[in-house]
Amino acid sequence: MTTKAGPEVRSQMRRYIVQRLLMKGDSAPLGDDDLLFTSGRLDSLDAVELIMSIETDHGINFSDIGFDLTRLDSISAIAALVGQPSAELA
Amino acid sequence: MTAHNLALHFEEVVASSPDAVALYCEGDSFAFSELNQLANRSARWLTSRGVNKGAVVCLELPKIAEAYALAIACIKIGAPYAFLDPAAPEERARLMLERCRPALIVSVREGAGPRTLIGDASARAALHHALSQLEDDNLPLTSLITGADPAYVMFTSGSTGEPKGAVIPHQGVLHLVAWAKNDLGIGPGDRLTNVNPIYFDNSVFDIYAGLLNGAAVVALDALKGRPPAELVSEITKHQCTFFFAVPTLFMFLDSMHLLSPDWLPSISRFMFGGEGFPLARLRRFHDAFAGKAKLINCYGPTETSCICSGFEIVESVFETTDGLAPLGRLNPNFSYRILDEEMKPVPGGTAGELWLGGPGVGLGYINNPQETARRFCQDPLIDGYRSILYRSGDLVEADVETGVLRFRGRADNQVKLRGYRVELEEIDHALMACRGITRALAVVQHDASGASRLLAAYSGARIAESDLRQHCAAHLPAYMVPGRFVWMEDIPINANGKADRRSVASLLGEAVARAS
Repeated sequence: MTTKAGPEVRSQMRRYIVQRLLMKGDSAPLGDDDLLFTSGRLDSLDAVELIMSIETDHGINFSDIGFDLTRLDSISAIAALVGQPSAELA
Repeated sequence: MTAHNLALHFEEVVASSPDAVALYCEGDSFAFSELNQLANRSARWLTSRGVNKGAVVCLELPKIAEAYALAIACIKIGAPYAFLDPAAPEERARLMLERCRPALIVSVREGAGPRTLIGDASARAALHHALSQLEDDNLPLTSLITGADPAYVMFTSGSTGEPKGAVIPHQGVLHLVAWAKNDLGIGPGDRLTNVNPIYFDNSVFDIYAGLLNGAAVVALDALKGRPPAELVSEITKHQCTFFFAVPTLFMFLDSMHLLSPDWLPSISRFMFGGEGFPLARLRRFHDAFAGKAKLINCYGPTETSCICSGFEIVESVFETTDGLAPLGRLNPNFSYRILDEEMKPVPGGTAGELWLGGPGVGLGYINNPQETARRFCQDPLIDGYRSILYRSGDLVEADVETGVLRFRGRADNQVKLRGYRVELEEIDHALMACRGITRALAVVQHDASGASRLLAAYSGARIAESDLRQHCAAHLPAYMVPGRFVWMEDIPINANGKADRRSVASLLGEAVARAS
């Protein structure tokens, strides 16, 4: 696992999510605080991919955050979560 | 069960409860008598378009009322229908259509073959005008269809690189309907969700276990582009009582804080199947609905009429060290053998491949004798007469005392992703069709919570990940597109000279972790 600085995580996540949205034909603008799952722009299939990618890339265990997807519901939320020391996740 | 085919059974329900609601769809509701009239007119329309008993009709449609009515129309005239995903990549759709050799395709998109388009409001109106000119009483020829005749064709992933269409007889679904009534208590007054995609095996249960037991079916759009809270609210607004979906969807709703009695107060039974439900996640689901709703784990290959076993989740399930809930005992009218690689029965309590028998066994794969011969085989322990079993490829173990089956893995490279069956070879083939790639292997990576994702390794030319993703999306449905692609100079091979999927899986796991 590599800890990445906030802006880098943000742009990396943005690239990843924009690509997934494009695959679904969604090319609408995406703000850092726009809701991803609550809005329905990303679905259960994307959730699994996103969770596993965050688990692999950032060493965050989804069970440690109580399987709570609302904590990954925007680019800002993901960046904040990934930037936290693991002891403070829960 | 008196009716010998699905259509006669449906007509019996229509006669006994003509005014009860059969279908909620697109904001409208259809009483059993209305749905039956629409189906009878559709059956006459199909006949006028040259569709006769035994011919295949492809329905490339979303969940609109015509889709349900046409399916019932097909079973009334004995023409097996195949629901196809209207959003499937063109190449995949072409392969499925070629196998079906349909007499007619009713579709919302342009394409080859004898096709009627009902993609927009005016085309739909034209169809309805044509239907309105036709008689709406039941058809005499329906009684000539036997239980052994084909009812529908359901496509599933194939290891040769193209999907296979399992042909399912009426009698298989009649037994599914009886099981739903007797074991799950489905009957008039129930409302079943049809969240499962209509071209996906699980929707066979939603439609027939509902309609043929006098219950209503509520057609619901899947989550694509739609806020999940809206879907859940719609289920509750329609007062649905039975909710069947894949574990991935239930886990998603749980993660969004939507899987609770507050959000889903009308549901008395949840059922899930198609993939394992990780116990840690199932525990949360079970606890949330304790005393309020039953949870049922079901199992069944597409080739044996959708579902062949069910198991109600009880507290003791969580005391096992398995990580997965039991599959349950096989439903009435299924026989089975658990055989080793030499096709000999395994000793009690040990794992072997499950071979399924009985009237629920499918009639083979449509226009595909090679694959049919590989999977639908003579019972190796019987040689005096014909006894065809479906070779599931699932490794199971049966409890010696109770007969309860437990899943122990696969005998081949089939995996389950979001409830869909995926033959990894189909992804390999799709990738190798990409110019410059010499070898490709897809593997599944699991995480600690039981979630799984697809990764792919390839050798040959290095290609940008976004191009590979695009290439795959053009050939495969979204759930089969790998999440990551890793270039390797050489793909490891095993002693037989074949690409070694296990070694690749461990190398890929390391490569993906290193890249982060």
